[in-house]
Amino acid sequence: MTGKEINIARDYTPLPGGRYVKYGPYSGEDFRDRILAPALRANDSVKISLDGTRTLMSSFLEEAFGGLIRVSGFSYDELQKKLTVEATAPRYSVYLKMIEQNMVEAAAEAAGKKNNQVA
Amino acid sequence: MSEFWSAALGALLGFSTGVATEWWKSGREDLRDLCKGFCEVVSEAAQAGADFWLAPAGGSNAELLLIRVKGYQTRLDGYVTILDGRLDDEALDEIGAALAALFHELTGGDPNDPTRQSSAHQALAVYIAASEVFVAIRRASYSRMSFKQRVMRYCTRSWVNQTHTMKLPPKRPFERT
Repeated sequence: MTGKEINIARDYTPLPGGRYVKYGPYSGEDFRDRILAPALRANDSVKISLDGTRTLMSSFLEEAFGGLIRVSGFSYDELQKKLTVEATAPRYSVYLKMIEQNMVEAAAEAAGKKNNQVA
Repeated sequence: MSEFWSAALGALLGFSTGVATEWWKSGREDLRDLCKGFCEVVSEAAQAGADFWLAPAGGSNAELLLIRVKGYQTRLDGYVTILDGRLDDEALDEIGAALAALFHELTGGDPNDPTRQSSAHQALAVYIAASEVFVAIRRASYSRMSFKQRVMRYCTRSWVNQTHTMKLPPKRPFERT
C-alpha cells in the first residue's frame, strides 16, 4: 500500500491559474498532467490538501479533477478508491463541493459517451 | 427577611431574563448584519463577473476585471468561514451549493483564453447564480436552530479547524442500467 499527500500550495503553487497550459502558468491541465495523474498512477492512495491556496478558479479545478476522467482516462471507481481531497479551513468547503460536482459530471459525460457508442 | 429574599429572587430572575433576551437579540441582529453584508458582496461579485464576461479578452481592463472577480471570490470565502458555526448544517450546505454554482459561472469556462469573446449569456448566468445565493442566504438569515441546538452547538463546537473531506460517493446514479 503506497500513499502520497500533495498540498497544492506547498507542492505546486499557492496561486493556481486557469484551465489550460497555453493560457498561462500553473494551470489545471499542468497540475493534472505533471503532479496529480502521475501520483495516482504510482500510488494506491493520494490525498490532496487545499489548505494554503489563495484563490481557486473553477476552471482550474474542473480541468485538474474533472480532467482525470475526461482526459487522463481514470475511471470513477478507481478515483473513488484512491483519491481524497481535504481541507481544514471552512472557506474551502465550497471548493470541495465543486470538485465532487466536477468529477461526477465528468463521469456522467464519459458514461453517456460510452452508452452512445454501445447504442 | 422573606420579603427581601423574594425581591432579590425577582430581581435575579428579571436580570437573567433580560440578559438572555439581549443575548438572543444581539446574536440575531449580528447574524442579520452578516447576511446583509454577505448579500452586498455577492451583488458586487456578480457585477464584477458580468463586467468581466462582457469585456472581450485583450481589452485593456480584462485582466484587471478577472483579478477583481478573484478578489470578490476570496471575500465570499471569508463569509463562509464566518458563518461556519453560526448556521445549521442544512443552511450551510444550501449556501455552499449555491456559491459553488456562482463560482462556476464566475471563473469556469475559459477565463484566461486570449481569444475569448464577450458573452452576454455568461454574464446573465452569473446574475442567475447570484440570485440563487441570495435566496439561500435569505433563508439562512432566519436561523432554524432552536435555542437548545444553538447552545449545544456553541458548547460543543471545536475551536480548532476541523478537516473537511471530499470523497466521491460510491454509488454512480448517472449510469444507465
